[in-house]
Amino acid sequence: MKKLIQGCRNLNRTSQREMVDYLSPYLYAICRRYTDSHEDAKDVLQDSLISIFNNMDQCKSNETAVFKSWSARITVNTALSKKRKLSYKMERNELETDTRNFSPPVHSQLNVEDILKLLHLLPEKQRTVFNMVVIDGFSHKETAQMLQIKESSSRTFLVRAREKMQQLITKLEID
Amino acid sequence: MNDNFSEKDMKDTFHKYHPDLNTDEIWENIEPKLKKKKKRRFFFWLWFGAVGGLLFLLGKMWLPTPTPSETVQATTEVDKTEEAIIESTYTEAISFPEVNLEKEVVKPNTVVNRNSNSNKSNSHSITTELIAFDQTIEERNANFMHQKSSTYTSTDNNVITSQVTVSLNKNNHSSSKIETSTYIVEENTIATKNESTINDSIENTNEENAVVLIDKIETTGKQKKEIKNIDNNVNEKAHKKKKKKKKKVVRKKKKNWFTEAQITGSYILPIRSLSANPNAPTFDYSILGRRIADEKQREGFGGKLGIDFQHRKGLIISTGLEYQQLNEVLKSNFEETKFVSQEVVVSVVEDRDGNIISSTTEQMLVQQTTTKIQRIYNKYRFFNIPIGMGIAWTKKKHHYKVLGGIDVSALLFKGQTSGATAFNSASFNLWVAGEYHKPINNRLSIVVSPKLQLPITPITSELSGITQSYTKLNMEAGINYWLNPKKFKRKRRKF
Repeated sequence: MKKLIQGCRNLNRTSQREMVDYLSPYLYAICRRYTDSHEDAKDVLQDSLISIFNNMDQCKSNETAVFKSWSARITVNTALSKKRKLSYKMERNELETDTRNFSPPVHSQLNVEDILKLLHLLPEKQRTVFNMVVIDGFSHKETAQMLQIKESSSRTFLVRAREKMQQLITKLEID
Repeated sequence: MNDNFSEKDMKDTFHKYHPDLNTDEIWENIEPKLKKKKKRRFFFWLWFGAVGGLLFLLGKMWLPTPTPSETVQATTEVDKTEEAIIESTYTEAISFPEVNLEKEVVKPNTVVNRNSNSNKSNSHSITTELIAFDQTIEERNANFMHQKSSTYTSTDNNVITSQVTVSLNKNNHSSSKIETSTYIVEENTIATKNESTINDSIENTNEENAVVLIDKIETTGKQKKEIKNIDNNVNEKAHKKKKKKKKKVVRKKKKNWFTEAQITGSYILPIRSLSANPNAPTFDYSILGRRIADEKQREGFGGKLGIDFQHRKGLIISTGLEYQQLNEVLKSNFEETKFVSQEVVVSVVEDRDGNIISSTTEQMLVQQTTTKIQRIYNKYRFFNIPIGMGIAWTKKKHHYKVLGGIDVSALLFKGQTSGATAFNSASFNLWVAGEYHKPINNRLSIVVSPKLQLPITPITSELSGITQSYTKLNMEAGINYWLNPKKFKRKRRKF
């Protein structure tokens, strides 16, 4: 892996190709959480890979874990900036409409698609903060910086996201 | 969601999630947008090679070549007796520039050409070659007085013995050696060295170790000759020179001073001050009043080419060249008197009712006065050399400066002041300025600078009775360029 990273740093096409194979699933999972559709996620993934390969100099370490977290951060940033640029304003269906077609998941049986569906029922900002803090492990400070909001707002969004998630799951279980 | 568990579960689910993706498609999309490897700079190396070659050639041309100051005199005597003894004697007084003697391979130009049957001519030919070798070597044994005698003896049909005696004399050091070499002349015109016996006797008055260098000279591979050159000092000196040549490694010092150049244009608001000196010989009160009454408009503009030397701690030394022009408009009324020849009525005859009956006229000179409005345009051109000091600081990427100093100013006056005459002179000003820099990039910035110039000396002559000077309020704007910019460290996240 170290050789692969070094190869990418040297703009070696073969290494870059291998790196695409290695990174794509991991980064796609991130992209998918920050976007609304598979196509959007793919677009963000491609943009992220381009910025990762073109800015490899900035990643000083050859360690896999460090490189992965660095590339994840770039991906999150790309997704957020793309969102900001296009000012995605996807009209969200009403909670009831969505829940009608959504089979109640049991916590232990949650798969990715279920979680994604749940996440997409959250308002956009709450979803983003939830994604960043809970799943990607960013601190509130980092989240606030990346989203250009106050730290306290980040905390508030997270609390609301959690509450809403709770409501959603409860409602689904009752149904 | 209960929720610590669920959140953790959620997180794990996502981390384990590895969707099947068509990476070929992704790669095809991103590949054209990726940075490409820089091509090798062939032309750079070509250029580098060309410059290197040129330097080498120049070096060859400039470095001293061992050219003798006197022509080597060599006499060769060929004795065609039975034993065919050939003697060659050299007496040389050569002064060369110092040459580091190293092993060299010298190939003779002469080709040995003889028959195995004719021994005499054979030995003669070889000897000529050997003499030629001797000359070549002698040319390389520089920087000392040198005496050498060589004797080549052909004893047998195919054997030539050479005895070379070399005596050296340099800086009161003398040394001598005797070298004996035997050459076998083979058939088919080939001469080969068989054995070389060298007897050296070195006398060194300085008791230094004698250095023996061996020059090997080869012909077409068959003829060989070894000559030892003895030198006491050449090598030592060469060694010392090498030591001197070693470059001293100097650590790069931190840059303390940074230079910046400024080009600015300015609008000037001049504030004129006039004062009277009653003791002056040509003093006239009316001048002062008249001038003040006449002044209508004052304005100025200027340009500056400034150079600032800024210390990294913020101290600035500023200088440059400044041009300022003040334009002044004076508007005055004046009377013009003329004497005109006119026919004037001298006497009139009237009747009772006052009607003119007759009149007599006469041609007379009449004074005619005309009132005119005069506009005077005065141009004060100042060429200043500002010299000042100040401090600079940076706040949120914006640079600020406060400067103060003195101007040495030369005035070039064109126009006519109303009464008081300014004259071409040198004067001094005190100035204070503030500067604001809005950076464009790390070299360029936009400058806006208010500046106040206070005159120390007036621009009028003391004799005129009026002291005239200008306090100038400048508003400068222009471009600042860092000739050697400061490097601002960017904070980068380390991964």
